[in-house]
Amino acid sequence: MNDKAEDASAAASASGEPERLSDAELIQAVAAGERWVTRQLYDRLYATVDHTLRRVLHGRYDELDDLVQVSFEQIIRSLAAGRLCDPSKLSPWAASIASHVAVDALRRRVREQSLFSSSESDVEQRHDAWRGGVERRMEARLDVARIQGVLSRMNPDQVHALLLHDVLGYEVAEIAAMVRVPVPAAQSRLRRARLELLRRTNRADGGGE
Amino acid sequence: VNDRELEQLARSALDPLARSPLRVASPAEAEQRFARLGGPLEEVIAEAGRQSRVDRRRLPPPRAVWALAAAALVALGIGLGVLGKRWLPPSNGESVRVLQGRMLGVTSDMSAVGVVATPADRGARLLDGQGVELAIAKASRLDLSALRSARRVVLLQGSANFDVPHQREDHTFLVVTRDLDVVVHGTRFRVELLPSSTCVQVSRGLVEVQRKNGERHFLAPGASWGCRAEGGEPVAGGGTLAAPPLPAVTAPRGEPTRALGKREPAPSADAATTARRADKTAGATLETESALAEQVRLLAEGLAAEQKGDDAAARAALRSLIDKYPESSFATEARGLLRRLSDRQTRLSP
Repeated sequence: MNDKAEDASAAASASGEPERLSDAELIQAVAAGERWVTRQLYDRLYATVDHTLRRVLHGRYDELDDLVQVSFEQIIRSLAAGRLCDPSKLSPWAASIASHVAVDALRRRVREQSLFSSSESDVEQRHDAWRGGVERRMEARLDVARIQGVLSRMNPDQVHALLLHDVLGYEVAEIAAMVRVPVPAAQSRLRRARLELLRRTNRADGGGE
Repeated sequence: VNDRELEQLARSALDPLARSPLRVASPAEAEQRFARLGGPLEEVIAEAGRQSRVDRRRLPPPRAVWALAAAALVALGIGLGVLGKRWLPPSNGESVRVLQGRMLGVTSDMSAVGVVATPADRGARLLDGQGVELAIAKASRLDLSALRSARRVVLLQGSANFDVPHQREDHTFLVVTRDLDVVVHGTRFRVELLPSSTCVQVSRGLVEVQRKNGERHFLAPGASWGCRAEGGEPVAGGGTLAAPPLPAVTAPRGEPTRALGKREPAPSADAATTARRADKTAGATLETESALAEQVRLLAEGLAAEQKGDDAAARAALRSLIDKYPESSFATEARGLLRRLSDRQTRLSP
């Protein structure tokens, strides 16, 4: 840990109010196992993690607490392992991890549902049932559920690129840095993901998925 | 579809996720969540820190270290295998590396005697730890026992070529024969022991020859001493210069001025001052080196022209030396030579 992080640690023990660390110092403190940076890390990244999870899961807040915790645990372990090369990208990095966690949660949910469903179009059938009797405002939720169903069946890496770019608004270069691939590779992955998404949504619209 | 259309279609499909309004966690909600997660996350951080320290200790050497190690092995292989060099164990404080040929005929234990002898049919090439390179001719003997302690080599028999790096001010490399001491100031030269004299031939730099009777001469590049003697006095050839009265010479390559003679106290101001000043500035080396080289060249040209009887050329070279380096000890020598030329002309004129 660098001098400033050590100074902040001393100040924290003396006054109970640690100095605000830069992203780089925060990362170093996490890697050094400094418990007192937990609060700063949480404050710095909570909004990003929470927003990413909510955006991907969309209204499925019942397991949000667990997913926030899982996201933070993965962030901490990644930082301690030195997987974040550029400290200035801490926030996008956290969003990327939260996005992964959210996609995993979606896929897990679909797998669990398929245990009780004889058909892959179970979600769609339920949507059809809902459309008959529920309020119009629920239709948006159904659309969300449908696209979540499609995404949960796609290649996770492609879904990740798709969510980061087309849903969360990150640039291709940023995504390339997050997933540690060259920019052309990230661009190619995004294109394949879009094609796959359209193929699956067209099939779903035609009743196939 | 092209990329733009594809993006539009994908964004449209993802619209429900990307555009629909989201509920944002309130600060109170965030605080409550931290109250639940803070403790477990602290533990995760502590554990991750411990794991990180363990991982760092277990890390293999970085690729660069492996690359350097591989390069060193390759270099060692090339050095030892391909070029056929080999090392002799250090003895008598001296490490001798054989460059070419073979190291043969060490009379006995080198650490005790320090004499290297080559057989009748093969020479040897040696390099000591301080950059002195010796090419010993066949059927020669050299005593190297004082090479490190006194920077002195004694030629006992035969001949050897010497390539000596430029010496520090307080260092002198000396080749001793039965009748001469060859004082080296950083040069390449050959010393051969003839039946009645010692032949010294200089191919680069400046060599001082000191006879046992105290007589001293400087040998410029191309000059020789004692090589064509058939009994009697040694014969000087090429650009041999008698020792000047104030034998101060600027050592080559920016070395500080060194007084070569012990008879005269102070070196002349010109070369010495120039050298000291030049040492302090960039490009000093070239300046100092060229000054010495030019002085030697001009004097050698004057001598050569005089020996050929070309008095006009001799005068031109000597005057050029005096004009350019009026306080140099070489200039003193040049003035003496000019006087001799004038006397000769006076004697010859009707």
